[in-house]
Amino acid sequence: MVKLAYRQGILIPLFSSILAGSLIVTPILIVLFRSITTTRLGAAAGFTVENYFRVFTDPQILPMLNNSLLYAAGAAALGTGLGALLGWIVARTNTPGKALVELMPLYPMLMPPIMKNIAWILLLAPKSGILNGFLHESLGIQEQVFNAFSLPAMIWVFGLTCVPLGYLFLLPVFLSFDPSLEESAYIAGSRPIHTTLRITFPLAVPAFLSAFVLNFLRGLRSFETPVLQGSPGGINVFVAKVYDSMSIEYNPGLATAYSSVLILVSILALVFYVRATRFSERYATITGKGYSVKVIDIGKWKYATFLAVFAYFLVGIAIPFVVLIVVSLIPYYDYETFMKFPANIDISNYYRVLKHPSFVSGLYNSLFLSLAIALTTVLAGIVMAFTIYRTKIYGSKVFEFIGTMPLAFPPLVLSLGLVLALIGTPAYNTLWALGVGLFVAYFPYALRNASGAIVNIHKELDEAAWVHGARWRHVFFKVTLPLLKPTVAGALFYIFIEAIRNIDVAVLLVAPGTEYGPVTLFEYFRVGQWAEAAAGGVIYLIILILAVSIAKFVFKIKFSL
Amino acid sequence: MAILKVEGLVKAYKDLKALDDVSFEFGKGILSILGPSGCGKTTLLRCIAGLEVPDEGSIYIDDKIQTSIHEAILVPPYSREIGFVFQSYALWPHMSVYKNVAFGLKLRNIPENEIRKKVESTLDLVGLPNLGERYPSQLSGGQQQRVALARSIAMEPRLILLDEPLSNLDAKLREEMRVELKKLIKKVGISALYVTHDQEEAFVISDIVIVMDKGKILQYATPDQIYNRPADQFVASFIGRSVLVEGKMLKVESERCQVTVPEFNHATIICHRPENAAAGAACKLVIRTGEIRLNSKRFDHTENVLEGSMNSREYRGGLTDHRIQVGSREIVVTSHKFCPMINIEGDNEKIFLHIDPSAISVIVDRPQAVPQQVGA
Amino acid sequence: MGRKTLLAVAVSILSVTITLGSAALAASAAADPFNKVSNELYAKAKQEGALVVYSVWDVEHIVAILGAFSKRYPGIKTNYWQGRNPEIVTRVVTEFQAGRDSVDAILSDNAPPVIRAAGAIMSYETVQKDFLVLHDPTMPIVSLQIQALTYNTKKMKREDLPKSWEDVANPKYKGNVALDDPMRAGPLSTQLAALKDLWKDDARFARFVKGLKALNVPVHKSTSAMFRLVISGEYAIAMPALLHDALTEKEKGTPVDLVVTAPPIVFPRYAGIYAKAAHPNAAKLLTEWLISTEGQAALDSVGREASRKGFQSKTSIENAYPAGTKPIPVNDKLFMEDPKKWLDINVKLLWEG
Repeated sequence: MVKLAYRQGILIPLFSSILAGSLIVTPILIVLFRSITTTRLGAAAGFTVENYFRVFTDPQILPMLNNSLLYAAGAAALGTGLGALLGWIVARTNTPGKALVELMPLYPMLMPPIMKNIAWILLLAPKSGILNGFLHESLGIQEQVFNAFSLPAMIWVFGLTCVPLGYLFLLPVFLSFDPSLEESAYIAGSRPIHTTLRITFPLAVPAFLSAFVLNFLRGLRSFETPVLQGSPGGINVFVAKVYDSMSIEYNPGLATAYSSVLILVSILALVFYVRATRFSERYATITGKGYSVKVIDIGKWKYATFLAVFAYFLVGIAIPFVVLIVVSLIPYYDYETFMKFPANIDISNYYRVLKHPSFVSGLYNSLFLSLAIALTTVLAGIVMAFTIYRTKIYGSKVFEFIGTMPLAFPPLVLSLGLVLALIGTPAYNTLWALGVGLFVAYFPYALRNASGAIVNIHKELDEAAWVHGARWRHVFFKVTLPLLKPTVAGALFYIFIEAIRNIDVAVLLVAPGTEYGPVTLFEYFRVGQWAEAAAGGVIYLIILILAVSIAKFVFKIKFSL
Repeated sequence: MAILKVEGLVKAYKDLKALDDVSFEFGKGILSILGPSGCGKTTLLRCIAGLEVPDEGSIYIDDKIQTSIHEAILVPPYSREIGFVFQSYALWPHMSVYKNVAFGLKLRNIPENEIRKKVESTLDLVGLPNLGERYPSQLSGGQQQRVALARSIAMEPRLILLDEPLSNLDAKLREEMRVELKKLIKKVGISALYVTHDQEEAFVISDIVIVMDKGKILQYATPDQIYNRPADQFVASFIGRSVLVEGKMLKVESERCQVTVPEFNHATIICHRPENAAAGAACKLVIRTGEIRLNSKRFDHTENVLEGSMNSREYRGGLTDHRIQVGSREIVVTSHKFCPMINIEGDNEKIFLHIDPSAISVIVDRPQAVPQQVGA
Repeated sequence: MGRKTLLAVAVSILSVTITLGSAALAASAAADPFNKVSNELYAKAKQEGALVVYSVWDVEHIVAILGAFSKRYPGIKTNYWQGRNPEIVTRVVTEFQAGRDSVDAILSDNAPPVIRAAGAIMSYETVQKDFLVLHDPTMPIVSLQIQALTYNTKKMKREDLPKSWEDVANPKYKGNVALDDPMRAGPLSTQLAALKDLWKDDARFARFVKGLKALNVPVHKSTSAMFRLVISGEYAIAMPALLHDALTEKEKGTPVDLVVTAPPIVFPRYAGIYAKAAHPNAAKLLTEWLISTEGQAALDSVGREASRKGFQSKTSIENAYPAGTKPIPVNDKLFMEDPKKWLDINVKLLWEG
């Protein structure tokens, strides 16, 4: 294999992929190995299958897994579907207010998922929720129409957090669409809506599935929504078992054994993805035939699509944001107090957040690391996707699995694997170790994004470069990367935003004395102090929204070619 | 000296053999590879370019080894000094025409002013002066095609490979471009390997044609030989509108032979004698319908004249397709509007067909069939 | 009592105006074992020069407390890492097994006993044990976690209130109780461990757990989110809440109050010293200082409950509850070191039926 790669001049991408792959696979292999050799508190026990025996004889596992699958698949379908629809509206239709419409779906990404949970609990709680309270007070409806603590509400809230990935993955596909693919359908007498359903959406399948699989796996291992909304509704999900293994039993081996069920589900999801996209040439939307992208005139419907985008903007960020702003400004939340606003305004929460000791000092590390991690993971993800789909290396599809595997592991288990992998090295307790941890944590996003997007670029564009004298670096940097620009922009943006506020996977690698913004500022979210969390979140959101808007207009960031 | 030599190339995708022991050699000029889709012709081209690795075999360009599975040699595509014009043109949409053409030159570290000169002269050559600053999306299909060609020519390759380069153009443009393409390639003096599924295109453009099917080379010959002496029934049927009928040799003479065709009411048809002709042998006749003459009246002679009745006609502007029932077969014959013989208006009217022996290729069935025939 | 308060004030003033001279410090040293030992430890700790703390507490609390410590004992560079209990256990045990020495002191509630069970705690008994509400001879208890039975005053009338913890299991509170998950390492399981130990009556304990189960309410896995839901009126009774949360909210005018007839349940917050600590004396100095009146004042200033007997503060039991209220401590060693095993033995069957 190596010899062949050498002959083909693709040793560097192959070795980069192997390096990234081993960074990812090492902590995973370590925890898997320990799951058959250790017991409680990591005590050595020789070879033992006790952990796995306990997992597969656990009677609760099936109903919990069932809940998990429903919840994760439902949220991923809702979120990715909505994201795809928004992407199509923005890219392919003549919906009015283009600049606004392009930005509106991005803002909700800035809101940390747990803020959405809190806001929607406040809105949808059966007895004390704002919506039920309003229906009761204003319309005299006695029933509790909405229930935040139910499976549909869980799917709704987590589904909303899944939308940005769907949008960012699919927007570039729709933006780079060869209109002749659609025009031929129009000429054949197909109406725009049919063309969209039969031509446009099927071509977006790889990107859609890529985002769907990612969201599905995020849903499977997500813990905030199940803790805050599932548990009070009596809905227990599988991942709780993993957390219990760590937080009551302190048995990482058992937690890993439970994670193995998630690994199996992940592998199934990926096999499905790889199979569904195996004829990658079918999905090439960026071809070597020059064309200019045209938008579809959807007539009167353009007002409906505008309203759709606006409606998402409202439920995705505006309404929860307003609820949180009000909650952060009142002494405490209950329905009556909420409705009295603004007579009872109180800014003490803001005062408390702003004087937080690491509010500013942690910011430098976080900004620096998040930016570095976003750049590194996105580049490595594209190199790996390039190796998988653009070279003839036998078995390179295995990287699809390796690169996505971190998502199958609940953060603390993976974090432990990383500690074990790094503890003997000089990198331990340095910023480098934290960097490696964040790399492993966010690599799946970069890989899924790149792998969904690269199949949309017609292979002949790369091959034309190869035969005209380009080595892999020329092909990669002059052809593949520029053509992936819109996708790269989206992935960078997403990973940066995520890494700046969430280091669950890397938390054990933060060296004492390293002030890392997320750990400190977002501690409020972790411990569930709503009012402070709301205040902190509001400040954070305002900063980010300003930053994004300025960046968008100053640097003219575009998600198209 | 062979510009290209291919030896024992095998490439299989699971059960499908895309290339099945393909060997040939090719000197200067333009070589076409002709075959239906899925016959392995594109795979062959991609193996030559180094974009695919064959399972077995070797490839030489200019007598230098490029691919040899046996010796574990695989020269990467970027070192093969070839040009490649893709079916989809594969113009990089994020680069201007100038940058597309200059791409390969820049990688060779040629000084900027020389690159400029080279790109401009190449664009002039392909008839696109002053379009360097445009982007591919601002060009018509024909112009994009020329840019794709210019990109390859500018590199001054040893060999240029063209993968169905005209298939994305409309019919009229395609006819213009194929003549122009031939002129251009000849003018530059590069040898070319041209892959197409269009028989007419292959004949117009090339000096030599290879007909492929199911991963095998069926015939390697000049267009004229292929047309008049197809190696087997597949070649015969593929290279033009033709009908295939089964027959049996009645009599074999020195130059000619007589074949009886049951489907044409057991009519006897005189053909050129094939090499392995034998009386009593089963054979197939491939009749090129374009060379059948029609007449509403009897011809002056009776040799090779068949009688049929008109089923229907389709008017195609300058041309008309006649669907004629002869015996148990329907034959479609196209006539030009100036053809004086056809003045039949109604259906089911009698019509006479004359098939000259030169319009028929005789393919004798495999020799082992002969003793059976004799025994019977 | 008065004398001690006075002393505390005196020590505080002295510490702030430390430049006044070490003679004054030496004078008070004889009166309190802390002064003597702290002088010895400080001398050695200065040699060590650094102190690393892992803690579950809010970052702003850690920063405030370490800030006060550094001010009091210059020359010791402090660093911290903040994580949740499972994270702390995982990190310390893993570092211990790999022979690393990154941490010196672990400030947390649930984590230190588990770490001790893994052998990663250096046993240390505080010289100030006589002053403590709860004492553990191997790990100084520097603060307390106090559980209070709390209710929403808008949603439940005073006369309808449960009188005791046991009373919450009364079927009439069905639909009004926000119940913490008893099968997790949370406050309710802690409470069960304390009550079982107090009652020493298995039948009574079984009745209580089964009664809670019979309320047929879903359980919560986030203490603070559950408390917010009680404040919002989704539920009327928090089973249980933390005393300092309840008092902070009450002070802000939030409609919550304590059921003072249910005695508070106290659980230790330890300062465990890591077995392979690189700066053991600095760690010991920190724990002694935290138990001293001065350290307790620093803890109190960020809302952490004092562990020192008679320390007057808003969150002290004496202040929040009627005189003579006896707090219920958690002493069960198995529960502290292996909560899963304790729950499997004592609660699982009753709860899961």
